[in-house]
Amino acid sequence: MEKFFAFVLKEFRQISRDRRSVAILFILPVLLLLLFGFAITNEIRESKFAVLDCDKSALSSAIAARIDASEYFSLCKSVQTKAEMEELLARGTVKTVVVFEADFEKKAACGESPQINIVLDAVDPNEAKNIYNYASAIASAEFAERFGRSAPFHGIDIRANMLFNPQLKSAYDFVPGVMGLILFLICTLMTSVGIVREKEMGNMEILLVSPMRPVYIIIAKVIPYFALSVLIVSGCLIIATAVFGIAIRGSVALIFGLSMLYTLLALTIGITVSTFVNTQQTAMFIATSVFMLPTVLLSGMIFPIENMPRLLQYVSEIVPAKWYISALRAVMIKGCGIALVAKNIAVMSAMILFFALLSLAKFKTRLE
Amino acid sequence: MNAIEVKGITKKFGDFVAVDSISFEVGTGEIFGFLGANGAGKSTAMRMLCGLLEPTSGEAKVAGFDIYKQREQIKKSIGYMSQKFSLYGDLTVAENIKFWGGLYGLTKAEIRAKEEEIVEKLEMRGWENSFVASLPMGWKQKLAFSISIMHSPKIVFLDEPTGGVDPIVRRKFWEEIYDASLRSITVFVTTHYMDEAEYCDRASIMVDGQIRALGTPAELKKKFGRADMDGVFKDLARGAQRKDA
Repeated sequence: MEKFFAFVLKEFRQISRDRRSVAILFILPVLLLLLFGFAITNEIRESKFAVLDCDKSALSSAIAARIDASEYFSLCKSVQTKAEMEELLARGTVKTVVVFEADFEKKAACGESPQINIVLDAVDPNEAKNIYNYASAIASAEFAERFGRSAPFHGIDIRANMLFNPQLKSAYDFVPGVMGLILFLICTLMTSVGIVREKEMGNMEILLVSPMRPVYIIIAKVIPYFALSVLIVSGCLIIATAVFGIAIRGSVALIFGLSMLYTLLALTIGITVSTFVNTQQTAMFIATSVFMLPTVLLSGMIFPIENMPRLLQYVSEIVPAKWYISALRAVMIKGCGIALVAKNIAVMSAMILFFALLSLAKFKTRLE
Repeated sequence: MNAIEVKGITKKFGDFVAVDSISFEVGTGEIFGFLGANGAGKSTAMRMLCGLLEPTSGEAKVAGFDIYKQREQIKKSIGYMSQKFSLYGDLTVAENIKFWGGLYGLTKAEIRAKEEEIVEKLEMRGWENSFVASLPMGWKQKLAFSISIMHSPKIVFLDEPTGGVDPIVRRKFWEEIYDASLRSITVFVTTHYMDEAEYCDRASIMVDGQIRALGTPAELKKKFGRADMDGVFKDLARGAQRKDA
């Protein structure tokens, strides 16, 4: 038995010496519990909406104000035209637009059913259904309070207009998300591990002694992954259309362009990781834990970003996948042109520049 | 002209002086042994000569090129092989030859000719399409050496090329080195096997970042009154301040 305890003691000692593992063992469960408990949720919270009020009456304003006052919604903007409304939804600025018909109050006064049209961005069908349920419940409640039970009317006529995804297919939501995750993981993981393997085996030294310039060594290493991601994107698009029946509304060239830009970003991050670590194991660990978790949780891939607490929304701004996935949804599902995703392109380009400069600086100091 | 000329090169990492003002010359076609215990500063010195590290001070010329200003030319004139790495195990013999040949800018025809020559010389006919990982260690090292001098460099740097193999295989490996030297390729070799030190034309012994002895094996043995290089080395290493890294 003593021998056995000696062994157990040795294990405890070794684990406690490995600070990083201990930190992960303690921090990870706490972090995940807090994240899922408070932050990452499918519940609707302060969801931004816009109003297209063709009636501009006391009643329509009161209903809009009541929706805004609830904890579920927050009024972002009043729009005047249908075109304005469509742009807001396409950009993803709001998920919902509440439209009041022109003679809304008059109809209500006459005892007819006045109509509210709730136009929803239904790329994420579950969220859209939730939003519709909450919004229509609030509108009905306000209406009922005003007119009382005795009011001579047939009730309020609330219609849902599920934009972009009228059949409410979940594939519209997850295909761009999965593409964002896969491309990122493959590119960061494979490049960082690939380059670090050369270092670990001692090859890098010999490659650096050769007349080949270091920057070409790195470019040569990432070209196959770049080619691979072109294939992956094509494969994903084919499956999305052929198997899930998704109609690609935007330009396929733009989708490829965005994907290549994003791949480049992921490769640059992979290279940056490889300049900081020396073993394949560490590279793998960083690529999966440091990058995978935020990509899955904070990119909007599964959980809508607008329902997260403000702080996490800010954090999500630096998650590369967020910019790709939202751009891909805009182009692929909503049919947006390049102008509407210009910000995403600019942010991803800036990130590429940042990581390229960082890895270059690090690479140089390593050599000296 | 000397293949390598070193005058007082020094490398400091912060306060630590890894290489402390060493000077030596290596003649063309010479086999120069660069000996020293682990941590004595051998690899730092060698990395500076290969253009991987910039010296803190001092002057040096490799193949006639300045190590500060002409690193690119130096890289074209040297070959490099280390025990830590011998080729890509997941590529075949022929693929490795093609890759390294291409890296040094050889033409397709030159690479094909070299491939023939290497396969012939190492008696590897029939093994061209085997993975390097499946070859015995001795073969791997000879192949790595042949590939490192494939582009006919003026100088080849061998960083402990024979680590982990038995004396018979080492002896065979040295036949390849002599052969290269006969073709007037200068050989700069680090090792901690003292039997190998005997094979060198001249050898230097580094202790604590400095060269404490330099000469032909016969001269060194005479000077220290020892029967073999191992004795000479032990006499010098005993005084070392730095412990093995």
